[in-house]
Amino acid sequence: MENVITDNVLEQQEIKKESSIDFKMVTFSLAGKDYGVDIMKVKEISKAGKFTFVPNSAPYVRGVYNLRGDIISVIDLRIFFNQPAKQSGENDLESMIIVRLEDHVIGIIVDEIDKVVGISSESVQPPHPLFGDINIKYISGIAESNSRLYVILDVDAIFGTKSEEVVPKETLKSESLQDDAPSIESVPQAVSAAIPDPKDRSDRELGFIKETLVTFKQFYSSAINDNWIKSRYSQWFEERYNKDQSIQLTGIDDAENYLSSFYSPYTNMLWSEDYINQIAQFIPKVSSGNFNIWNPGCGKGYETYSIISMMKKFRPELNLKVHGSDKDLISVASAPGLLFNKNSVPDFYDEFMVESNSGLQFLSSIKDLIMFEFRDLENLEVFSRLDMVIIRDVLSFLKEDLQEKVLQVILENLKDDGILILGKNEILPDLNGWEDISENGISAYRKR
Amino acid sequence: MRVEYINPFVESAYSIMKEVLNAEVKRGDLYLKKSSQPVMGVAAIVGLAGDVEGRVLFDMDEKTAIDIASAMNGEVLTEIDDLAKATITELANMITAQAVTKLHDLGFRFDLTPQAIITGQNMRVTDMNVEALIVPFELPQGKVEINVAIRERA
Repeated sequence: MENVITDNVLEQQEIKKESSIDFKMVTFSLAGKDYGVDIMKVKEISKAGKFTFVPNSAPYVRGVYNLRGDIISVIDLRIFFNQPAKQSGENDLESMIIVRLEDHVIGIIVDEIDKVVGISSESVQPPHPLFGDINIKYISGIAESNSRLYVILDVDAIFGTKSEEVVPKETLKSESLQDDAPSIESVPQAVSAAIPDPKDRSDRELGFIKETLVTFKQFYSSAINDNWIKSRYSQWFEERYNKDQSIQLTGIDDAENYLSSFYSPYTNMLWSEDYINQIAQFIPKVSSGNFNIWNPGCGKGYETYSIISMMKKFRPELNLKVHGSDKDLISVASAPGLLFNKNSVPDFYDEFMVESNSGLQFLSSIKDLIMFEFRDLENLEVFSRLDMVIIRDVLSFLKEDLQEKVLQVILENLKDDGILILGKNEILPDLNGWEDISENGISAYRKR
Repeated sequence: MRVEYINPFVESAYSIMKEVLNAEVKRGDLYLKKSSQPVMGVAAIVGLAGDVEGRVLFDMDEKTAIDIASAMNGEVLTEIDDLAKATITELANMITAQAVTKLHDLGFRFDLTPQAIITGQNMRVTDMNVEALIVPFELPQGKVEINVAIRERA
């Protein structure tokens, strides 16, 4: 988005050589002063009244309005900016500018809509920090036209999500600073933020590492893997410091290196008999009937085949079904026909496999119990009730809000006493609804 | 979507379009989508029933539809008339039927429902509780997207 804006500005500057008017704004007045908004943001203007009152909303929300079938919210800008607002009678029509934001349309009530004024964007001055009535972050500039001064409002900053994201962070930061050092409470925020705090340094470096892990490996740090990422950091720091290398991850190789100890055992290979025996302790005690397992992030299918072999060995009487899913089409498409080299397969699997010309593969009676799916966790949908979910090292590669969503869906779809198994370095941050039964380095949880 | 279903649709779409249009067909990367998606202007839809439930949607803009129908009929059509509509539905039917035949050979039972064609501007399609696989194709006549949404019958 920001790039687009700068591109536009550059373009506008190019065009300016030919004509000096390259920025048009709709001007209006609020409490006797002149304001403008970028005409590109304005959908239309109209006279409207009789807004439907919305109870319990902020004072500046006048209500909602039916704009030819679309319901839009209506904001009174005068109240929003603490300006005196004329009381309007029951049936009076008021001037409304309808602005189009990225994802919604909002009506703004103003005193009077004036006209469209064209100016040169070069003549727009930055807002002065001592501006009175209106918070400076809502102003994109000041422009002069026909010896009148117009305050250009930044509609996105006022109503968009942009400001909402910035504000809480600032408050948080100032709060934490105040907690640490009550003595500098009165120092203006900008100044105190500039003072380097040595004990924050490693935090900041870890922060950078987390960001680069997202960039290079789409690894998202969250409460699920925070413990690991912190302990790995001290180890990493030592390793790199001794070798006189940069602490920061400079490329995809570094990122892979950093994550090398993150992965659970037997990633991308069949589980060993020992590991199967460990996991088997967590199989829910179901006496009979259908038993559904979901294995998201199955990749080429090694994990899914290991799971079905484990179940066949320990609970052959159950009516088993394993759903393996992955969003990497190439990997998951090869899973149903996965071939194994005889030497690389533990003896444990012998009874479930058959030899073919090109190598070992699983018996079709085993394969029939597995359904491999091309599926993106982003588009989670409902599926059959689950007894067990094995999702090792998958959540950490999802964005944080998606991590929560996936965990929520798992909790909803697991049967009572169903089991969830995460990667060895992952933990459930919120045990609400879960019982932690982790053991032997296996992160396992039972639904309560 | 079950991985076994993907290839038959991709293969039959590719080979049939190549054959009936006698032209270079390029396949784009497959991807998954759930939320509602815009439809370009002309959409032929074929429903699936049997072991599974779902539908296949062939989506293209009006100009592409007219050009494809012209190429298949060997005459120049200028609007989406009955002949053009019949031609596009037939193309959808051929592709789906061949895919279903391939799936049948793999042991999956699918039935087709009568096909329909939908035309208009500014349309969207939303699938409830099922993820759609999008297979984009680039033809000399324009872009055709095959949108397959199938789920196992619970």
